[in-house]
Amino acid sequence: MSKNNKPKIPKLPLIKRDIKDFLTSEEGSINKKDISQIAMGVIAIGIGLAGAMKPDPTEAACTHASHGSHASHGSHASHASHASHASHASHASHASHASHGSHSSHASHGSHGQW
Amino acid sequence: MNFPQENVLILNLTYRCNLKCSFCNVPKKEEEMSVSSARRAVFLFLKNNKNKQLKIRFFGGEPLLRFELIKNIINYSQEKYKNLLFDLTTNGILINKDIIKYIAQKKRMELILSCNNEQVLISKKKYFLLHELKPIINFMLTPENVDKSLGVLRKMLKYGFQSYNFLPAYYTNWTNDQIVSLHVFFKRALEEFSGYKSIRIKNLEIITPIPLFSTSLCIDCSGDIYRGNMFMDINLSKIKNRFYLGNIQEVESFESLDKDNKTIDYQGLLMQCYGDKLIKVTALVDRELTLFCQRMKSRLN
Repeated sequence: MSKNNKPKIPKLPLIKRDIKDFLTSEEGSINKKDISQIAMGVIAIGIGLAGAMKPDPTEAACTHASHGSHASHGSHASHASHASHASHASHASHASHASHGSHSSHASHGSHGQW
Repeated sequence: MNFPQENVLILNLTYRCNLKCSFCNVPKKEEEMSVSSARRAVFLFLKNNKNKQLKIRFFGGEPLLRFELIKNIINYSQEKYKNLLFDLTTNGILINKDIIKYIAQKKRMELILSCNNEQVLISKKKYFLLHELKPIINFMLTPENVDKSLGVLRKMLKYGFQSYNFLPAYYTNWTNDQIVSLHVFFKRALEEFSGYKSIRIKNLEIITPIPLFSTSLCIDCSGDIYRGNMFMDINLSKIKNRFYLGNIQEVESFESLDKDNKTIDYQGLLMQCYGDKLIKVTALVDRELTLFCQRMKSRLN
């Protein structure tokens, strides 16, 4: 059989991996190489925030996690989808969030991080 | 329990510390609080307060370097006021069987251990077990350690530590990759916690208007009174006087202080000192913590 007629065999087996295995090693260390693939989503968030965030951490701390429409946020199957949330962060006035009932207490939001 | 900020008094007992952590912005110096200053501060704090549940927080530097003073304050204040709690934030290095025995006997002291080195805390585990103490782990997440933090958390859980206060390094540069790592850490931490029944996340009990800092009254070593503990941050030293309210030797009551507290523009001051970029990064980092808390809360409900 000539060289050219050899059947093509994939050099590496294709393994479907769960996202959590994809992101962390056995020791719990995060695989830097792999997370670079989802980093773009966070960069997009950063860009969105950079353009619009007020110097008010009480507002900036709002994560919109309580928004019903963000339920899919929990899965984070792909961070890339996060990019669409970047504009969310730029809603400094939150005027467009008027319909979010759970946000009535928006002004009282603060940080959960304290010494 | 989420304490109203006005029901908490922070005592900065010393600027001395036995560690030099890269993320800590408290300057290290020899200044210490005297017994008379501490007693005067406590006297003013308890004066005119009846029946409220109050808390005294021992802070520093490393407060356990002043353990004799801590005992003195506890004995003095408990004679005067019964409905009083204490908490103590320590790196844990000085913890020994006698300190734990004392804290366990008092029952009204919450021990908060900074997780700078998990091996130190694990080595003290026997003392906590002996007295059935459940310390809160101040779990620091820094750009440098975030990739390894899940492994540390797993180890802490394995050794039986079930109360945590997560503290991402604020006002610090995080790259986008590091923020992704922080996001992944919190996501995986949620999964880890699902295997445990008695997990307590202290962050859920905290809402502060400014990430990292408290706005409770804080008494410095010299007896100076400040609104919040921001004044201790070396990067905020040039605006320290904006938080200054007086000295414990000069005032008759804390109630007469701070009448214009509402005019303090905390965010504006932080922006002025830390700059636009660090404030934005802090907001991004804090956003990850808030998201984690929201998910944790919905799980607990």
